[in-house]
Amino acid sequence: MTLTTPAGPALTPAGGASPAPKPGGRHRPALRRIRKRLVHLLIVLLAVTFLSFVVVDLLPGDAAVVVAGDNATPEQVQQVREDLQLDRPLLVRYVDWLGGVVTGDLGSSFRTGQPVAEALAQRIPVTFEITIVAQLLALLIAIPLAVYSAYRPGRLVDRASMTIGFGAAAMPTFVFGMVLIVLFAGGVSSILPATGYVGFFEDPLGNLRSIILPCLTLMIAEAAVYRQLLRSDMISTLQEDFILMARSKGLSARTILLRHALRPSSFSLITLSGVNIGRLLGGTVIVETLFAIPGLGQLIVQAVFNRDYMILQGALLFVAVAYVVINMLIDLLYLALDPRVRRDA
Amino acid sequence: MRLRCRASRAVAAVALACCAVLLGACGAANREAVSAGALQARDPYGADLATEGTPRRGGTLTLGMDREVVSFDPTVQNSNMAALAVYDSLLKVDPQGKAQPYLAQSMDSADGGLTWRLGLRPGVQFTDGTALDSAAVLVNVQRHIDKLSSPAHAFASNIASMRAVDPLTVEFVLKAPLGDFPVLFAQPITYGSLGMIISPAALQQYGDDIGRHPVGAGPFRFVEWIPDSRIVLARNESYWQQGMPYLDGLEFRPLPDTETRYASIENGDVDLVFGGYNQELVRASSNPGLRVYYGPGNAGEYLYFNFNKAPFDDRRMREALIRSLDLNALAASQYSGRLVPSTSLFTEDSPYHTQAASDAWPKFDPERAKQLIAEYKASGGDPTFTFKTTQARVPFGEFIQAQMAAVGIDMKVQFYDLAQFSSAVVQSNDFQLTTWVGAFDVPYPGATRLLHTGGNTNYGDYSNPQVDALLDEAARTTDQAVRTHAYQQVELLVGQDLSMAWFSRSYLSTITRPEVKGIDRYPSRDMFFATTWLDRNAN
Repeated sequence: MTLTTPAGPALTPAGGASPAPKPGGRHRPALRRIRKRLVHLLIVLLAVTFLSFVVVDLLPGDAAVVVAGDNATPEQVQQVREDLQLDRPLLVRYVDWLGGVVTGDLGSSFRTGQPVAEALAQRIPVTFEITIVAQLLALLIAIPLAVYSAYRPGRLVDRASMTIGFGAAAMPTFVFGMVLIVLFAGGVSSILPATGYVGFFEDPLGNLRSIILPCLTLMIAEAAVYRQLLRSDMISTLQEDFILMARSKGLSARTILLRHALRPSSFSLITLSGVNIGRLLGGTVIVETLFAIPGLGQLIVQAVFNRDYMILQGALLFVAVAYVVINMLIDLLYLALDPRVRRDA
Repeated sequence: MRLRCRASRAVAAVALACCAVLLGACGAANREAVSAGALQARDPYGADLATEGTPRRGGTLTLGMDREVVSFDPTVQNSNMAALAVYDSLLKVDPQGKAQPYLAQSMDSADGGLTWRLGLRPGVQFTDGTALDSAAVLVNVQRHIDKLSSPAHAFASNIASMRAVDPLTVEFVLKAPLGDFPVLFAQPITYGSLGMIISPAALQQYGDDIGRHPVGAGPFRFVEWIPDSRIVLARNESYWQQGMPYLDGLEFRPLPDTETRYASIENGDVDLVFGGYNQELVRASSNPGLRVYYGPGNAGEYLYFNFNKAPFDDRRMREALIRSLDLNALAASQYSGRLVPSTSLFTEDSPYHTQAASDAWPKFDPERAKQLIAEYKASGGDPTFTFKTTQARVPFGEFIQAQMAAVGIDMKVQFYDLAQFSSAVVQSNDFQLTTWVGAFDVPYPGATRLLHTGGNTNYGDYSNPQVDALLDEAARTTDQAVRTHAYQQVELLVGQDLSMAWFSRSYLSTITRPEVKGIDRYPSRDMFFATTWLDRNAN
């Protein structure tokens, strides 16, 4: 099967145009996709940062008032406003901020004076860890259940996992978190901490203990949805002709399910889990607040409440980048999973 | 189909069961609490150190805060429970409300409060090895004078001139006599304090970034701060109080969620929490496995009337509002039955409080409220109004609305997020009636800020020249009897004027595991950490 040569110059991942496009390379569609995505990324970032700048500015409530505190006099508030340069027009501040970003300076927090880059560097690994672990757990639970449920629909495993899954998914996150706290961190038993995040590199075991409850809380609703999604995709795949053929060849159920049916059934699942990772990176707010985890979600919410524009802008910039990059990776994963996508690209 | 039905039935059953359990738990908690009555003060200034046995050395205390620290810079407004651990305080307020020497040795005035001499202890060093001397005090006070946005700027503005008499004596000459001047060196960081001294060498090194790299002479030295995660402090080996501090270190963690903060102290994730709300205080009080430190404090939770706007510029409407609030119903619905009612400016055990003030305060009487409203209407007034509050107080807003409806007033409620509330409602005086929580330990400067014409927390623009004069006199005098009399008069007058609608004291508390000993605190929760020790074997 030959690949069609893409039109126009291809870009290397580093961004420079390759002078002589090699014909027929297996990675070419991937490069083209990456290039398209990078252009996409720039547009998205400009739009997101500008919009958030405007929206935050339109929010009623004044950063200077928050920084000056409740006991401040109007003169004190005015002084703070001038110190923070909030008296300048919106566009000037945006262009100034953008200039800083291009030169690698994200500014510093209005309230604490902490550099935004430092704040992000502290928060991103925490949220990243929790998001990834929760996703892996969700997939680890959802995939076997879904495969087996699709294999024997309507039987005990299928019904039980659906009931429990939807019951848990229907419960608001914070309620489920509270239930877990009552069960494992005080109340019924006290084997896990309710709060107190420990970094992985300080104490791997302590880290594990401290993220179990948050990850379980995050995972449950996702697992329920993943199971449902994969189960129904799987059931329709199992009715395809090639499965019938595999059966008639006498292959074992295990081989048919895992080697033949799972891969073509997993597209919706991968798309959704990609979207979810992006979403969770920017928004595990409830879980982070409940379990006092120093992640990105808390940073963003606190920044909104305190009108800490610099922190907010930096965090939103990261979330936007993460979203686009993850979607790009998912896109590339399609290429690996399905030869038809490679051909059509 | 059959499958769906069964599944949904099962889900419904599980959901019902969960609801039943939750409701049952809530109901039980409420019933139990309603019978217990108002919360009582418990060791508001900390434990009786003499009865707790011989302190043991060692151990790290983990403390949960209800909010994250903003800065260690005393010129930056924020609530910072770790600041006193790093800086100590030059003076310290005793349970009688008098500022006593602490890190400093003396603070005296020979001329009735115009000139003050601060005597420092010899040999006190900051944790960077430099000396805490007159020059250091001058540098720090000067920062509050220079920085308009400092919460202590207004206090420092009392100073006409200051100089170092010798390396251990600073002399302040004030613009006018101020008998309560020493209190300004003993305040918690939140209200603004001149008594937290930073090493000038560190100020030189870090400049405005000192708030994230504090260096003081307190019992603990700063090690690291990872925002929203933890603040780590270690023992200051050259601390000025011999043999102290007892602990090896402190670790402060922000635990913003009230439920998990309570779970964390209950299951021992942390040794101590700084409580902010009624719920956790109620639960901790009835838990024999926890110790509670709590003092209701002055002022507390109250409603601001706006004296610039109808209808509450009229005393009849202020009285009508107070008379229509059923505090028992409020207590039962939102304070687990354990509301600490407030009928006066000062708390009942304060020397500045008189029973006469409480007796004169209007009682719940909806019929009288209706009469007053009718009178107000007859004189041409329109009693409808809008109540503005924060999004955290939705049930409270609805409660007030229901109480107003019962006396025939159609009241609107508007909810704001905190930033918007501060700027668009309170600071800009754009309200008719609004809520506030603001306790203070000592009457100066708290009462002056709240009630003096132009006071910076006098958001409703209440003004009574007689009250102003009494507040000024109370702050100026060095005679305690004169001061007591003046504050008692203030309390009576603002009670007659109905300057605010008092309804509850505040619920700032310290909750500890039983093995935490040597607690030394202000009712505002701020703690002095030199005497704290852990009665357990673990290191």
